[in-house]
Amino acid sequence: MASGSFAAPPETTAWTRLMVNRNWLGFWFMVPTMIFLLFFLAWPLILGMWMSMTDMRIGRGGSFIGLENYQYLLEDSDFLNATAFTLAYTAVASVFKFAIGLYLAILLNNHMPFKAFIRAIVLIPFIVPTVLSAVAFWWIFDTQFSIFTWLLQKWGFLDKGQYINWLGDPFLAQCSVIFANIWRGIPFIAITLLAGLQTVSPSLYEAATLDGASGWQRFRFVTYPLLTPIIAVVMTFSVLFTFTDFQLIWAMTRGGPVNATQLMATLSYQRGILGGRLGEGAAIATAMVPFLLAAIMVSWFGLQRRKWQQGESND
Amino acid sequence: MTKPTRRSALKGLAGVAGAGALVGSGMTDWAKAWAQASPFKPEAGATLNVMRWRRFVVAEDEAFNKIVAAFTAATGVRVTVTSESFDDMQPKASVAANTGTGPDIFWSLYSTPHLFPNRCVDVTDVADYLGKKYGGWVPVAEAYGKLGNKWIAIPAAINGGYINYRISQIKAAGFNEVPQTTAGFLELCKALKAKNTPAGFPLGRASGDGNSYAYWLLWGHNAAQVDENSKVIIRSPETEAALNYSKALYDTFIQGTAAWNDASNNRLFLSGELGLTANGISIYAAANASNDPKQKEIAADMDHAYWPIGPAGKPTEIQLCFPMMAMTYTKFPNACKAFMAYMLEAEQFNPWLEAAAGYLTHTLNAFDNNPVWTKDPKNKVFRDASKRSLVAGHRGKLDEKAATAMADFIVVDMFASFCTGRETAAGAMQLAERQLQRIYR
Repeated sequence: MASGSFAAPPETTAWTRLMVNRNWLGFWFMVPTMIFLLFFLAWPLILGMWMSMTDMRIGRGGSFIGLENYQYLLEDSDFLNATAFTLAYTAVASVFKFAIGLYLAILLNNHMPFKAFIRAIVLIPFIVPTVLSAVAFWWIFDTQFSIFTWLLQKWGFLDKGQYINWLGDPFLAQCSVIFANIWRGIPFIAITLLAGLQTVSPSLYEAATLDGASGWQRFRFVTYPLLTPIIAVVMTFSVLFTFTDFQLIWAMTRGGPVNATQLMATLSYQRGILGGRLGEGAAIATAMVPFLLAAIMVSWFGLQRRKWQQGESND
Repeated sequence: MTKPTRRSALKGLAGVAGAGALVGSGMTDWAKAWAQASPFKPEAGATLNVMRWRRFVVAEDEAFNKIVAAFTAATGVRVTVTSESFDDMQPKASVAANTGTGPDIFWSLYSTPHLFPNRCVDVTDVADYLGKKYGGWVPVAEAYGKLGNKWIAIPAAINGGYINYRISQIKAAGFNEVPQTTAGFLELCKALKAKNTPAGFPLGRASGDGNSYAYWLLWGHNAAQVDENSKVIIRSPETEAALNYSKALYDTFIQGTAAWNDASNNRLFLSGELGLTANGISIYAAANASNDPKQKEIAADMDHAYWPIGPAGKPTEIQLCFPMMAMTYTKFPNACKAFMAYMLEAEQFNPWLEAAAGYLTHTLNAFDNNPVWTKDPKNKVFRDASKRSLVAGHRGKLDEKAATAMADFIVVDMFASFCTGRETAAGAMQLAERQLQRIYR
C-alpha cells in the first residue's frame, strides 16, 4: 500500500457539530416557523394579556392596574351575560351542527344520482362570505319584512299586520343568531365527516352485515369508532370557530337587543374599540382563552385517547 | 399614511380629471385666488386621504366632491376621499389614532375627537379664521370642536334630527300638528297606535337616531348622566320618570324597535309601515328624489316638527355633529388645515349646504340666510338644529368620558333594558350608574 500524506481534518467546533448534528437538524428546520409563531401568535397574546392588566385607552398608554379589570368584569352583568350566552351559543350550535352534519354526511355517502352536484350544493352556505349571509339573515329575521313572518301570514298562522319580533325580542334574537350559525356551520362538518366516511373500508360493512349487524349497529360499532379521530378534529375547530364568532353577530344584531346577543368577542370589541377602553376590552378577550383551552383539552384528551391509535386494540 | 394603491391612484386621477373639468369655471378661478391669499399653505407635494361618513343625500356628496376637485385644482394637493357608514367611522378613527397610521383627516360623528384629543392636530388658527369671517360659531360647535381653549376639530356641520310624521295619519288620529309637550306627544302616539299607524323610535344600536332619542328622553325629564362636577347622578327620581315615560311610549311603538339601527326607521317610513319617527331630513329627501309615485306620495304627505318639550321646560335635543379632525401622524398638517378652511368658505359652503337640502345645518352664524331654509317650508325646523342642540355630556364636560358613555350606548341600553322588560327601573338605573362610574372615575 502506497503511503501518502493526509491533510489533517478541520477541527470540528461546537457550532459545526450543531449545524450537522442529525438531532439538531430538526430544530433548525423548525426555527422559521417558531419565529413566525412567536411574532404573530405568542407576542400578540402576551401583549393582550399585558394590556388586560392596564387601564390603557385608545391613543394613550395605560398604567399597570393588576387584576382590576377582571375584578370589575366579574361583577359586570353584561360580561356575565355575554359569557353565559357565548357558552350557550357554542354548545347549542355545536350540538346541532354535529348532529345535522353527521346525518348529512351519512346521506351523502350513499350512492345517489347527481351525487357530486348535491355535495357541491351542500357546501354553499360555507362558501358564501359570512357577512353576506349575515345580512341575508338580518332581512330574513326583520320584524316587518321577514320572509318567515310573510309565509306564516300567507298560510294563515298569523293575522295580517301581526309580526314576530325576531331580532327585537331578546330570546328570539338569541335563537335567530344560533339558527344562522347552525346554517352556516353545517357544511364544514358534513363535508369533513363525509371525507372521513369515504376512508372506511366497505369490507368492514360487508363483514358486519354478514355477522347480522343492523344499520344502527353498523354505525355504532363500525362507522363511529373509525370516525372518532376526524370527529375530534372537526368538532375542535367547530367549537373554536363558534366560540370566537364575531361577524355573524355584528352584522345581524351588533350584540343587541339590550346586549342579549353579545358574545365575548363582540363585547370585547364594543368595550375596547367603540368604548375606547382597550384594557377592559383586552381583559374580555383574554377571558376567552381558558374556555378555548378547555375546549381543545376536552376534544384532544377526551376523544383521542384510544388505544387503537397507539396501534393496540380498542377494548 | 395609507400606502397608495392602484384603486387610490385611480381615484386620485379621477379627482384630478374632475378638477380638470372645473378649470376655467368660476369655482376654480376663485379657488386659485383663495389659495394665493389663504393663510394656510399646504406643504409641497402634499396629498391627503380624507375619510368621511357615508352620504345619505346624493346631491350633497356630489357637491362635496366638486369642492374637493376645486381644492385640488387650486392647490395641487391630491385628495383621496373614502367613506364609511356611521357605525364604522368611530372604530376606524380610533384604530388609526391608536396605531398612528391611516387617513390624514377623519370627518366623523359626535364627540369622536374627544376620545383621543391628543391625537388631533391643533386647528385653533383655522377655527379663529372662520369664526371671525363668518359671524362666530354656534355654542354647540365650540363645545364639540374645543378642548379647553384649543380647537381639536372643525365642526363642519350638524345633522338635525327631528320628528318626521305623515300628515294624513296624525290628522286621522285627531291631531293637526305634533304636540309640543311630552304629555301631548304620548297621547298622539297612543292615537296613532289605535289607528294602526304606529310611531317608532330606535332602542337598538343606532349611533345617531338611538342616542338622539335616549338623550332627549333623559334630559327632557331634567335628568342627566353626570352633574357639573362630573359626579354620576343617573340614579334619580327624574331618570325614573323618564324611564316610565319611555315605557309608556314604547308600548305604542311598532314592533322591533329594540333591534333597530340607524337605517331601520328610514326603511320602514318609506315602506309606509311607520307613521312617525325621529330622523334627519334624509327620509324626505329620498322620497322626494325618487321616481316611484308611492314615494312621491309619502314626500307630499310628510312633514317635520321639533322634539316635544318635557318637564325640563326647554329644548333638550342632542343633534349629530360632524367634526372634521386632522390626525397628528399626518405628514401634511398645513394641507389638512387648508382643506378644512377652504371647505367652509362661503363660496363652497353655501352651494354644499343647499345641495344637502336640509340634511346638514351650518355651525357658523353667517349661513342662517342660506336659501335652503326658505325654499321649502318642510326644511324649516332643521335650520335651528345647531342652535337648539345640547351637547354630549350635557351638564358635565364634553370630554372623552362623555364620548365613551355615548359610544358605549349606556343611556340607550338603560331605556331599552327597561322598555323590553329585562330590567326594572331600579335595575336599569343601577346598571347604567355602575358603568358610568367606571367611565367617570
